[in-house]
Amino acid sequence: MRLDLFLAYQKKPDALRRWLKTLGPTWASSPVRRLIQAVCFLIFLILFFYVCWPYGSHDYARHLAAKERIPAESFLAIDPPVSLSTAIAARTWVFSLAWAGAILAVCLVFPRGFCGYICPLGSLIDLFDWSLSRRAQRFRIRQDGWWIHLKYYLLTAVFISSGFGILLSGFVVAIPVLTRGFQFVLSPIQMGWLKGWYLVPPANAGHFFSIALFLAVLLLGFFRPRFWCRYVCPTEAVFSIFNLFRATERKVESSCIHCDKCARICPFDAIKPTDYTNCTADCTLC
Amino acid sequence: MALKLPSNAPPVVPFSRRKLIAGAIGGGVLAEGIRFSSSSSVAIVRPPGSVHEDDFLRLCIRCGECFKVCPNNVLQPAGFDKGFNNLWTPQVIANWSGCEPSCNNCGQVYPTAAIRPLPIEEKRVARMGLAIVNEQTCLPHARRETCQMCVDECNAAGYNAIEFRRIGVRLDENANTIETSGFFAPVVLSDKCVGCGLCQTRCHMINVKQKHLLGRTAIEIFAGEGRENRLRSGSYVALRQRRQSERLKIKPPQTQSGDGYLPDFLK
Repeated sequence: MRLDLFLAYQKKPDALRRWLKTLGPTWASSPVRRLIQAVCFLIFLILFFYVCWPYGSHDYARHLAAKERIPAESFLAIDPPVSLSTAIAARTWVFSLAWAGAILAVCLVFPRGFCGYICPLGSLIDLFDWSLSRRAQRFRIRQDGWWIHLKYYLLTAVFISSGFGILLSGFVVAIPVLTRGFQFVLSPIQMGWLKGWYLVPPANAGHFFSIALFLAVLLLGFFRPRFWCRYVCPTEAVFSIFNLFRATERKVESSCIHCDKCARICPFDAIKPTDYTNCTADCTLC
Repeated sequence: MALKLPSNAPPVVPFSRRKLIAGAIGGGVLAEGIRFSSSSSVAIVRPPGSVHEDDFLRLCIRCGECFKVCPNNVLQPAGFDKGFNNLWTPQVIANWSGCEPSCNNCGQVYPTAAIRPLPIEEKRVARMGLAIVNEQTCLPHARRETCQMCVDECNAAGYNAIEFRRIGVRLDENANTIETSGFFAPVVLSDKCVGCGLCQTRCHMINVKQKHLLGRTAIEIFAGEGRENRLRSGSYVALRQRRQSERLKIKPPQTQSGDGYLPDFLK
């Protein structure tokens, strides 16, 4: 059964295609994906800057409850290593395990769709790569180093330490890193601007350490676009492992002319150079 | 027949079992090292509705959401001074601000329920810590000047957990108390205090920062055994009612006769 998600190739592009091309090549080839990414990123920004902004009423409890159409922690809840590591560490059921289960079920049909479509850190990295790191080529490194399996080693370290009762997932898992980065960098600006700079609490060394980690995640894009997403992020290590149970995948038809473009352009290094089929653990169906 | 062009696509790197085992061992060693190195000697004051400290450290993912939704910025991330295991976990900094009585935001945004989502009535009786007055430095206790800011703040918040006690009362030549003498000094009612920290904020901001009368706040919130309640499940309101009824049982029963206070030969 074919799953036609993407716009087919046209020798003479029509008006819609020409307009999409002005936005960019990825918008022209898979506009649905870029649209979903934009929407999810916008939802994350609204949840963080609007819903979680506690001011506006002195009845704080009711004010927050009224704004929370979806839970403010939604993105954190759908991040599987968050709920898995805390469930292992605390030896108990946490309710976000149900959310993680739901997103994994969705990713049966869209393997690693979280990484390509939903993850706001991925969208931020895409924005950063498009605006900044694409323009500097001198730091590029090759694709076949030891680091390409780093995400599995990190995930193992996180789970083993959770087994010992120490939670390290907050340091390296995608959505906590993103939320904390926004909280320590952008939240003070929002508070100072909208309410007053005297209300911003002082920062300690821990703040700067977290900011440095967040910047490091973004700056990895100078090595390769989406370096974090491809090689380091433990969240997509979980999804990559879950790809073993996928229900769909990208298939190569017999009309392939072996031009190599797909293998070179793939943002997740998921296409084998020999026969252009997928490295199934890596494809995000972008 | 397809044309085979030279390929620029990436070669496949094999998965390294050695690095995987290194990752596993590294995770274990790091965990044990962190556990041994971080033991905070002073109990950290945690947000209201937090679960027990061991579970808290295993459920808190250090994401930062609770800092964002806290309207007074009472909750601030602990730094390296509290140990690596407490890094970025929320602690109550009562010198900065006190916990708002009409707010239960922090529990609402927790993906792993390290802080339980409590309804507002429950949150108002969930003890985070206990306010302890330093009777050496507190201005009325030290007979320096009158001050009742902590009492006012606590009453304004609706907790009514600090009372006045008259101290330093002088007697005249007939051993009668001079009504205008002495100071009204604060006394914390430990069964009503929830450790919100509003009193500490006031004392710190005015007496220390503004008037420079003190070097350190005279009323401070302390956590630890006996000063806080951390329920994994169940109602804080029911817990408070249980504690109050137990306290009533311990009180000696009232004597029936009105002269029970007299010694036997005068009855």
